[in-house]
Amino acid sequence: MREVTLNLTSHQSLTVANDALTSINYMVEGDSNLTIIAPKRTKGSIFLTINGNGNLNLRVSIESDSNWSMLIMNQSDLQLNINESFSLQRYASLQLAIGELSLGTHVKNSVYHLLEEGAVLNVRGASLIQSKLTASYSALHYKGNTSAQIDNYSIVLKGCEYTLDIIGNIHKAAKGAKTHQISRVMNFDEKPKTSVNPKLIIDENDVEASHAASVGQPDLNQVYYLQSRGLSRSESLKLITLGYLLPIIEVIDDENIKERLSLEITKKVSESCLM
Amino acid sequence: MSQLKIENLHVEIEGKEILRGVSLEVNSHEIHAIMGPNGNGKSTLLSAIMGHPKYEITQGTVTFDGEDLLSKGVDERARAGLFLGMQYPQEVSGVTNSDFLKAALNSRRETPIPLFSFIRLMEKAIGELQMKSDMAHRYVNDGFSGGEKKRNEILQMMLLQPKIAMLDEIDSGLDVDALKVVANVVNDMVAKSDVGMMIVSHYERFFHLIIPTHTHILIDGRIVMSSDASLVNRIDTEGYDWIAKETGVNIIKEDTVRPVVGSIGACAANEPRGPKNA
Repeated sequence: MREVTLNLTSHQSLTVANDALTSINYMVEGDSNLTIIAPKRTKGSIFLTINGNGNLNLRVSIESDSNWSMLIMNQSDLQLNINESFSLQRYASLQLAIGELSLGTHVKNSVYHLLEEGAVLNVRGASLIQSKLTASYSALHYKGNTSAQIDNYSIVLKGCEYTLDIIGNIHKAAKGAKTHQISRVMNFDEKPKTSVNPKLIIDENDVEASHAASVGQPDLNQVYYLQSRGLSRSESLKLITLGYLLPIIEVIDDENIKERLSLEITKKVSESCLM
Repeated sequence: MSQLKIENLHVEIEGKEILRGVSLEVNSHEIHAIMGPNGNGKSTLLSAIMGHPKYEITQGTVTFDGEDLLSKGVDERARAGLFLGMQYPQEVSGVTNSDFLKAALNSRRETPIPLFSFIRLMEKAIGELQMKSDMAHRYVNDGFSGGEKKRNEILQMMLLQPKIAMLDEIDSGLDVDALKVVANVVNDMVAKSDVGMMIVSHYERFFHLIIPTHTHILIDGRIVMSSDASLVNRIDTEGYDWIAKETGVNIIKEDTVRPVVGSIGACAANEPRGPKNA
């Protein structure tokens, strides 16, 4: 697959090329807008890296009969507010991996619009909270036979804060829609400031909906097991953390992105203080 | 040559004394069979030596090659050359066997093991244990059958090459063929290295495949009888009641003893290690 690399800032709108990997390095400066369009009957991968400080409005449109993988890495170590809107048209499919691994304080509001029949969304988020993250993910099903699976795996380090609102909303006339959520949070603080709020709003019959949420501390039986093989407590916690976050790469098809994401997560976990 | 020396070891779990003065010496090339009815302290002995935080050592000493073991953390004991093949191996989802084993090997080395050497080492061990070739890429014990978990423990032992290995009911969950494969690997390791072994099992059949040099009977937290492999055969035919009669000890029935240690709890890893009165 050919690769296109773009360095962008301020207000931008772009249409991604078919059968290509589009890497976008985006710098937020003040109020910024970025629109990405994946045209009808296309496929490919998008790797979006976000840096900078301010407010970002991100719009992603996956048009009908398209099949895309996308990785969004938020690398801003500064204050950042992100409003994301994803629109999936008829039989459009999006595999979305989200990495929140930075030192920044972020507020994030993501809305996934499953506009037309057959739209399929699969989101996997990996967050290493090293400051404060307030995030909201909403899957809105407007039509029948749409499907959304949103999985979030998060590690909250000592002294950090995490709020996650996750909503599955099946509208009237969306028969056969499926909306599922899994939210797992591991706290490294004995007095964590973590809040996970799953919500399902169902306004139609003949649908599937579920949510699973868990918040806990590292399993010390696992720590003991790893230590009994010679790993220090710190190494054990890092391995368990990687095991928590790394499965995000399974969402991605592109081997190139997989490798980059895996390296990025490993690097961030190695640099962080888990004790 | 290595030596694990246990003297007058007393161990409590949640205030209840389980071991009441165990003394034992294990040297390189020796295979010590620890037998006894369920619930009399066999697994407690091995877990306490490894440093499980739920087990509180109230009295006694354990030295490894002359050095105090009880003041060391679990990982330090492992790096010193101690290994415990667990009865219930922990599942660690998301961590592949190969990443885990590489990290364990590297924890003992100054420089990381070269990737090619690691792969060769792992593939050889997987072959000898007749495990599935995808074992390296699967998450640690996640979704493994009982037998696969036990073989995975032996795989780790083979790669880590301990000086003293403790195996806690490693035979449970293994079918007859798998039992032979594991026994061959253990026998081969004892023959070709300086490892010493402590093996807990209450199934005599395992000790027909791995012939112990020493056999100890642990009842009510004490070693009440020690002999050679012939003791295994007698237990096979006559059970433990005759030992209780001869020695005057009471066999603890499993359902009357302490709560089973299932979870360490959130604060356990910070608990001090070593003898309570030290």
